[in-house]
Amino acid sequence: MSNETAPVNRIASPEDLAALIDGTLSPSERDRVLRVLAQSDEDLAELGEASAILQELQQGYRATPAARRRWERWSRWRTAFVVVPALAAAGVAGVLITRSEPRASSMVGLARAVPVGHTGPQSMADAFGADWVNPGWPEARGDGAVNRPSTRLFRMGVQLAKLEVAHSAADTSAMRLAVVALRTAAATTSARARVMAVEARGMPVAAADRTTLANALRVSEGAEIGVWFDLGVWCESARLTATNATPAATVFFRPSGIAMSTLDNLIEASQRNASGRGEHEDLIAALRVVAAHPVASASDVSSLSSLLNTAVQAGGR
Amino acid sequence: MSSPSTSNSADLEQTFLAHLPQIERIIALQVRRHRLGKTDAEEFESWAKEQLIDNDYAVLRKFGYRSSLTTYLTTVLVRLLSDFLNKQWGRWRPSAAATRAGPVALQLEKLIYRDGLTIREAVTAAHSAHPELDERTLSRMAARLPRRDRREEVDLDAVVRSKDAPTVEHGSAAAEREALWQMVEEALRSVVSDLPPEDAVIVRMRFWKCWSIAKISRVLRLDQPALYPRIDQMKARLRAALEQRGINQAGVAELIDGLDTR
Repeated sequence: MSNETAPVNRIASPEDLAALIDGTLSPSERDRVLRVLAQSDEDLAELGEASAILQELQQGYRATPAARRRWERWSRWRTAFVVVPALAAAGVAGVLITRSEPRASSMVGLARAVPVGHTGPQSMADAFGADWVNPGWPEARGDGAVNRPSTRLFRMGVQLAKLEVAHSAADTSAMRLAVVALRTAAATTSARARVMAVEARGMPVAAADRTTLANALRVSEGAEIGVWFDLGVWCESARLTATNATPAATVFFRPSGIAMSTLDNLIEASQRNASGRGEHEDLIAALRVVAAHPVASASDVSSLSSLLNTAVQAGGR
Repeated sequence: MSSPSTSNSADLEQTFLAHLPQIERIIALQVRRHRLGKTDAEEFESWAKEQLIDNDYAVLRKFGYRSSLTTYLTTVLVRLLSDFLNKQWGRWRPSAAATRAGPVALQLEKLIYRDGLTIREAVTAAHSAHPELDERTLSRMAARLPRRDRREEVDLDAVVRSKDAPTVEHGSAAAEREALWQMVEEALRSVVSDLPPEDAVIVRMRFWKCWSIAKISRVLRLDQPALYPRIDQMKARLRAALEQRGINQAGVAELIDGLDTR
């Protein structure tokens, strides 16, 4: 064999290889990519190389002393000014999210842990953009997705998370917008009645009342499918956190943290719940990518933002 | 909430800049793993970043969120380095004999036939990278490599005159062994092509690429303890299939077991 220029035998795309490494391919896609790898030495070599590099990245390889110093300065700042308040805010969730299927009150705790920066009027728009209240799914008449209980619950979870974050931000206008959005998402008569009762008491809504409301909405379509409500809360809490992408956000997404442990449980529970019906495959696929996404910096968090937008859109359809 | 294909340049630029530290970390790892010199490393880094920015961030625009962005950037950069090295050194393909003999033989072959070192120089370089192997063993390994075209002749006389010179495998035994292996390899490729995709990939990873079982388990996200009996079963299937094709049992068993001991 001579050392001449030979055609490169590559068939798999970089994203195919990346999805295989992250374990985010559906069974049929995985088979397709494996069939490609069975024919291409170059792709196989690249797969091995990429996997080895990612392993080193996750083990915390620091390329240069300068990068190391930047990381250490940031870590100290984050620990001093962010970790304690965030852990306190997540205290309720911390106690309760040890069960295999979290309860609504624990999900509410997670939403309350979303870092908001400064508080007061306009703080929601400042932190999350002017379109923070837009649901990300169509709300036109004849929207067929509302015929699916899991979708209705997901939507309610998303809007409840917005209500919680609006309260954390002490933004009264935002609270009113959020409760109206929650009322719109509440598809059953009883759910809508509960939201209207809370709305009638005026803003702000007491924390205990919000928790009671969350518990009621979660079981409004049957307690056995409450996981879709939880997913809505989780996705919107995570999406808002990633959108703001403050250094505090890395606490929310740290691998050993409450939010990511909860996500693993939710993915498992939703897969069991969706089994055989093929529901929300896009949502679950997007969340598996989120779960596999290593977060070590604010830039890693901001890269989750679009993914979580996709997840919320997928869950609400 | 825009999809990648509709993201505007400003968004893509922001994404690129936000991930630039990560990109630089990946490149630094690649430079270390491939032992690139300072000049090559700097050239690759600037070229790779140009490729990522080129055509209005086309690489980022293509990202379909089927994986994490970090993993995607890693696979893109791995491919870019492969392209870069191909351009620098030409398209190098190792011989089947070196591949079977393992990573040290592969390194020796590259040093001698791609980079143009004499056997003595290649053995010295390999010994410094693998001090657990003495120079005599490495010389013997180098002498067993198949001859390939190169600009300079291998200084075999120097090796033969040395009092520690290994016995060079002479033409007929080596040629017979090579012929047997080629026959087996063709039959194996035919058998592997009939396997389910995951099994076929595992066979290639284990027997052609010489990956450890731990590495296979990590890359394919399979349970490591379960892989051991699975690979044993595959070996048994391969042996049975080759016997059905009339290939000598003893020779085949020795070759297949030899591949699996790394």
